[in-house]
Amino acid sequence: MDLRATTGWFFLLLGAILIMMGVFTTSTAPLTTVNVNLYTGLTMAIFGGVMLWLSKQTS
Amino acid sequence: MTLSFVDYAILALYFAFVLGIGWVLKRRVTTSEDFLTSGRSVPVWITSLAFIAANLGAQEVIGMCASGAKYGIMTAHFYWLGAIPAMLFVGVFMMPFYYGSRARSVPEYLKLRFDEKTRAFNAITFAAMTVFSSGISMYALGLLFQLVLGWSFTASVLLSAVIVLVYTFLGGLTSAIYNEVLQFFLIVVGFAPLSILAVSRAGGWSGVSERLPAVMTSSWQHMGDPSQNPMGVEIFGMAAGLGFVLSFGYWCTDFLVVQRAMAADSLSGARRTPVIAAFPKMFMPFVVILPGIAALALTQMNIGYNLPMKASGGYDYDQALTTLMAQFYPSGMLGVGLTALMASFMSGMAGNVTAFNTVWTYDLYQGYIRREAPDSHYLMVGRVTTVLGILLSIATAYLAQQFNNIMDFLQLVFGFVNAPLFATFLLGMFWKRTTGHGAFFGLVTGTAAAALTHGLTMAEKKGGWLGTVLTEFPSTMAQNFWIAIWAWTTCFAVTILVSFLSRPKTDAELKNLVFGLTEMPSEHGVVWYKRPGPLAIVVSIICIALNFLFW
Repeated sequence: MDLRATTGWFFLLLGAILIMMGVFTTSTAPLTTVNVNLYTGLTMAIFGGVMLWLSKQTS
Repeated sequence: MTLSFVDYAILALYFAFVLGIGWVLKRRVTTSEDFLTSGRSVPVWITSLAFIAANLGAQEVIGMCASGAKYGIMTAHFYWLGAIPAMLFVGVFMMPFYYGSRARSVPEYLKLRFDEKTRAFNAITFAAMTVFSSGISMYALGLLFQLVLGWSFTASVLLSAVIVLVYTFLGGLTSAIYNEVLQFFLIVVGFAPLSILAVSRAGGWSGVSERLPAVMTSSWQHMGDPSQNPMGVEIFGMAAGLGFVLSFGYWCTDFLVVQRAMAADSLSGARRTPVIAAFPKMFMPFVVILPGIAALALTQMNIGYNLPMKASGGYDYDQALTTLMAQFYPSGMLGVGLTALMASFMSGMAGNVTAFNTVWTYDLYQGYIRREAPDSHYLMVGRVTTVLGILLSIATAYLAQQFNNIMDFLQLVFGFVNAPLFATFLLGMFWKRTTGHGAFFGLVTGTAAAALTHGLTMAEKKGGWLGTVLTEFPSTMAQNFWIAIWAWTTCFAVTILVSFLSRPKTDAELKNLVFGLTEMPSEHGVVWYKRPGPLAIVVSIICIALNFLFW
């Protein structure tokens, strides 16, 4: 099993959930006005994508 | 703090992946070595991340954040002064003997290098300690989830234990290691945003520095005298006690972490494992310690965040991390944060369980109970031990809930046993004259010296049970550092003395076990970034720069 692919899919899915939360809901936290879900979601999705791309490179 | 459906969905997604990894890796397990030592086949980037993740348990994450709030950036010494030099040392200098000896565990190395009694002493105390510490961290997790989420203690303890049991039972060490990598990424992704959000809300690092006393934001300037800093330590106690004895004792001899490096697919991979791990490790203070410091600064700002207080007065630092999450994470990211907490707990627990089952199966069961049996028998024993180890951890968690004092006492005793260990390994690996009798009596007297130091000194009303108090330390941390220094020195001296009085092993018997009698791998023609030495130099430069940056 290629752990890069597994990690990639996990963070891609996690990122997708958070991006959707960031775009479609207005859930906020008491001490910040930043759209935390959107930015962390994007970061996770990009990280997941890079891991998947890396696993494709060698397979 | 209340969780929404999405938060639970994220937790469930994580559980699914973790169990899935165990299920897929089940096929790779056919022998006891596959199960207990990964058959020495894991790529180096995976062993490296597992190397730090196994240590990054929930107690470490919560504890480091709490120490950040309590002691400030000086807490980073546990990384920059403690872990990093020790990790470089074990990779560059010690791994050739661990890996080259073909030992399957650290106690087994001691048997090959010294004798049965030294191995038995180490194996028994280590096995007891792993079960104990996974039980204690299970207890801490159950308590935290009860406090923060209102979950039942039993439910969170059992749920997390069962999941760890399933994936380690299915895929053995490989499964634990693969999951540790996922857990490591999740810990970073789950806590790093908190650090960024909390620090920037407090006005960035300069804002934090302005709001707090200077001692909280500089790592070296207030260490001339113990009275100058909240840790109550001075530069020698810190450098010798933490930087040398305790850190080298843990990172260089504790099978829990060394096992990850020994699972690498080559000697070069095993040597590079701790060195590569040092790269992310030295930046971990920004993820786990900074939020704690920011929590204290935010408390001074009167913007609606306050560090919770204990019933007995004073801040409850252990709650810094979770209360910050509640303030900065909306539903969604909150799920990720809690999943990261769960992941850190699981990686710590799986680390303990996989180290425990290897030491039990190979060192205690095969060593003393049933020597000659077909391999399938030891595979079965390894699997049964996995279940047993987790059951014992659960029992320990409940004991901790009932008898807090006994647990404190055990923790103290294990500390005494650990303190002298590095002297034994240092002499064993680099001085071929060291004998088995020397090592054993060094360890025993070193442990006794640790207990004696504790009995003759006092700190925060702890210790002093021998009646006479020779020294009063300003903090238990200073006391611990000095206990370690005395234990190490005693072990070092007694080992040398007894070694001179007893007969050493011959050179032929010590082949591949000692410096000078072990052929070092040729690195001719290998690019610099694949060689442990040059990599270690790069790590050192960055680490020194970090110390200057937070001078």
